Amino acid sequence: MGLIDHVPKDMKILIVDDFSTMRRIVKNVLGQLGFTNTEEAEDGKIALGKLEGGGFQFVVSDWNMPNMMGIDLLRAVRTHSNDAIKKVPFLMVTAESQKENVLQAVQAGVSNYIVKPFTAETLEQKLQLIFKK
Amino acid sequence: MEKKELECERCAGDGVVVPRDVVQQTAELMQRLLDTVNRGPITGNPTDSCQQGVVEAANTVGHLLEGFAGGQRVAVPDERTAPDADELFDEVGKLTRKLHSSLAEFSVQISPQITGIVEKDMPEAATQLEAVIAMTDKAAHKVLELVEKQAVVLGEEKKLVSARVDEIINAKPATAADWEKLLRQFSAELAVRNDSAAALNTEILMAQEFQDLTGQSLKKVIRLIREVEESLVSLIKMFGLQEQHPQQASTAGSTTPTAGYKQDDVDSLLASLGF
Repeated sequence: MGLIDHVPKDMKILIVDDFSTMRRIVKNVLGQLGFTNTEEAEDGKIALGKLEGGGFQFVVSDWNMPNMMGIDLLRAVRTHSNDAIKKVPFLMVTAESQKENVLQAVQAGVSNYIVKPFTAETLEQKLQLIFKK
Repeated sequence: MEKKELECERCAGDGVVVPRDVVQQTAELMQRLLDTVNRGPITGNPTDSCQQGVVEAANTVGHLLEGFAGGQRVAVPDERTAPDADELFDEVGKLTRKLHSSLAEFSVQISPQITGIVEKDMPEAATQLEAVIAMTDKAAHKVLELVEKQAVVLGEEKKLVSARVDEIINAKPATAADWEKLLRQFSAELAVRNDSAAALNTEILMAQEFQDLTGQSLKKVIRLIREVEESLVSLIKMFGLQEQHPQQASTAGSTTPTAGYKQDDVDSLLASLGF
């Protein structure tokens, strides 16, 4: 865990997924890594609303969701007028595992990409990559 | 379009005018009906007599209407002498009624099958699948709750063990007997904590029972789907349509996890893009 020691443990994180079990799992894994300041959203639209409330420093999002998909949330974030929102690190965690999905996400400005089912180690590794000094 | 009037000796021209193009069209429709009915074999099926009835009716009416279109007097298959116009219309009337009743018999056979699929099988399959989602959701949350509890317990235990060991050392037991007493006490405390952890473990074990219930629900759904499949196949046969060979599902572009990228593949791709 040394590689993310510099990341403040009270960093505010938004977890976005339409399945409450998945949100809970992500929350738990982040908790094990020391990050307990989390909020949740069940679709992209609600997520965007919460982001616009301000203060978030990291987003973990699924792809397939009602009302607004993760990819569309990502695009909305990366083109946002508010600079803090526009540049927020955005990690996609999704069952969409085709090459095209990864490419689309990269083009839309994703910070990194995890395919489900995933391990706690993978999530930690990606955090290290995203928040490397 | 030139009209060919059918002269009726009895009504001297006041009778029915059957335009040539209408007769032509009706003949074509009859031919199509005949083709449809003749296209597929139905074996061991209660609708065989229906099919036969339709075929007979269609054949005979077809003959008669071809006759109308050609302006000829026609010979009906049972070789009566050419009937006059009244008899002809009677014949057409009878056959039309026969055709109608055969088709009605068809729909009586088909309709319950379709109704069954739409009103019973599909809704039941959907209900079962919704139940599976509910069961797996509940089970997952239950296990997560137990795991969260366990995590708290483990965290506390770590602190507690450290504190108790400090206590024991600071008590500076004088003799081996004193050491033994303190250590046995400590051991007993740990045993109690261990039992609690084991109990949580057993609860997690039992929470997996959902899989048995969801498995049974899914088996029901599979049964329903197979029943629908059979109904549809028999319907296709009834209409005499060609049975399509089931296409092999293409795995290219599918989004099932087994067909797509694993994390290593994703990581390689990301690395090649400069991540």
